[in-house]
Amino acid sequence: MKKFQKISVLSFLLILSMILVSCSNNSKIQSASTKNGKSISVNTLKNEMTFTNVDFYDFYNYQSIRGYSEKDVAILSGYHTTEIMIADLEGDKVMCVSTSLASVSESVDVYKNYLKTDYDTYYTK
Amino acid sequence: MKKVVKILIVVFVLLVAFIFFRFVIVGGSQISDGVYKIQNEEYKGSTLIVKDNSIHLTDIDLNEIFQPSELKLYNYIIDHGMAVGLSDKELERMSDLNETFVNNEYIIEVDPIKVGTFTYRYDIYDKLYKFGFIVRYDAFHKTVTFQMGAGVILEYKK
Repeated sequence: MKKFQKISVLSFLLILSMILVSCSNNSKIQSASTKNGKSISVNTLKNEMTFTNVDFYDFYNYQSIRGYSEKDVAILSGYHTTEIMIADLEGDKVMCVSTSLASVSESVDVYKNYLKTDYDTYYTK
Repeated sequence: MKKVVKILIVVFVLLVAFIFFRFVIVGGSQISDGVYKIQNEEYKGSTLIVKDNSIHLTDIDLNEIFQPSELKLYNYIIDHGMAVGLSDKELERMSDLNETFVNNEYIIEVDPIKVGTFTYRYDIYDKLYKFGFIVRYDAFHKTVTFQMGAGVILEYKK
């Protein structure tokens, strides 16, 4: 009876793992954050970004945005530009950064004003 | 021996149940064929017809809803030197969303991106000039949404 239980549990775990693998999401995430809890992550497989409490200047709508938090925002531009176009539920936005997402190594600056003199630096983990 | 048979039967039943649920009830990444009704009250009457990976929207003026924002984005792209400008004729053709999605069937040729357990995204917009839509398909709830910059999300449900 014990052997039966063991095999049953193992079978159940096997099926559960198959289900989890089947339902798993694509994710290849690169993230960067400031020391005070702001963070940006890029999922290159989903082509989406997630923002937590991010301040930036929206160069498309000419306005400052403070404390921007949004999950799974679609990236319209590629990864080889410093002008990142995103489309969230409210519309399009353009965020300017110091280095393209494709070449971020240790840190990236996110500009908070039109003149690009004010910025937050995000460090990769 | 009897126990082994029992276990095999249980495993087999669970496996069949899972496969049936995942691929028959929920379905895969391809948008399920059928007629989807719009959920946005202001565009009531519009439908989305899906057949063999082609989509066709009816009774909706996409140009009125989305063209201004798409042209604004196009102008930004050109003004910032991200792409060369289109000729007037080409611009008129590419920005005419009604012609692409309402007057004709649009065949989805891009691969879906898995963004959730049962949700997929199709980027059916021009990669340079951004004319088109981000389409999200929720296979579990059988809903399809169309989004692109206007702050309006069209939601169709089967």
